[in-house]
Amino acid sequence: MNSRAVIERLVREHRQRLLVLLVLLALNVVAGAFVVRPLGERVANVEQRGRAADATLAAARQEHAQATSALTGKDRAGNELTLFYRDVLPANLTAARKLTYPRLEQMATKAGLAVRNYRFETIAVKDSVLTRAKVEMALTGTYEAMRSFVHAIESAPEFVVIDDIGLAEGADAARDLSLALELSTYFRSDAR
Amino acid sequence: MALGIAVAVVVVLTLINGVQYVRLSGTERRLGSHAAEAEREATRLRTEAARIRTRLDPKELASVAEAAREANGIIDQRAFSWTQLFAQLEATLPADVRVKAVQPRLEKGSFAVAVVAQAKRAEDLSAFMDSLEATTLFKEVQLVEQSLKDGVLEAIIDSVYLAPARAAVGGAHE
Repeated sequence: MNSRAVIERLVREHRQRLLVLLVLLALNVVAGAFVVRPLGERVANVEQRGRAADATLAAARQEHAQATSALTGKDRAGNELTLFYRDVLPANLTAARKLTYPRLEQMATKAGLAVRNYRFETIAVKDSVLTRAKVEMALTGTYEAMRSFVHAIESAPEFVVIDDIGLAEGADAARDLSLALELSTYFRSDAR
Repeated sequence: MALGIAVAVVVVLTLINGVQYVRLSGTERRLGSHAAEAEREATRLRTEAARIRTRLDPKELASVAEAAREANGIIDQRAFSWTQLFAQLEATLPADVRVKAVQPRLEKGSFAVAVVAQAKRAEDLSAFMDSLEATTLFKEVQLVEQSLKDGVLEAIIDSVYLAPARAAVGGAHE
């Protein structure tokens, strides 16, 4: 029996079943073409949208972090500045004067130096809330006494900055040294 | 037999379509929900960031930054150890060179130190500069100016001083 005869016999005996199978096959093809395939395309689009949303979210997080950091940084810096002005620097001109005079002179004498001249002046710091209280001291004594005085200033709790040190030999080169010292402390200008 | 194969093909095709549909539907729902959530969160964060920025006055921000820079500069100067600087100079100073003046200044976060030194011979000043550089605490040591005063050479030597950090800064006052 050839294959043509087999197919003809199959169709003749199972016409109903074959029809159902053909309909089901057609439905599968239609479902694949018009339901499953478009759904796959929609999923690809949603994936792309998700990736874009993730990138947008990452950028928004960074933007938020920067804004928060700027705000907290400003607040923290403001608080630290307040503490610095209030707790570390002298409160006003009177406090700056008391902090340096006669304290520096006493420290110099204790270190073994003689104070030849003491000068105090205030200088407004440009574009700043601070005023500089500048002290110039002319001293004489030995090199060791100068070192001792400098160390005493550095170790003292008072907020005094040594700006400049000038040395010159005195009359007795072995013993005498002329020392020109420039120091500063600062206070808030609006606290005068 | 042939009918059986045809049935099997239709069943397999139906199963493939069904499974694909269920899988893709789930993925679409999940991804769509994730994307929507991410978009909502991004909008919320952007709005919040904009609200924070309205609280930041650029002028005030610049003013605080400038004041902080100034305060840090003063604190750095206070923390500068002259004792250590003198110790370094003493250790490097040749016998025939004397230091007349020392002036540190804060430049871009590091200390530049100008030393006015006196010597009888240029070779001694040169040896002093070599010694400073050999300590590795002084960089870019250079002679800025030299003049002859009463038979003595006086030189201004500039350098970048890598000051060792000091722990304590000044304490509280009235």
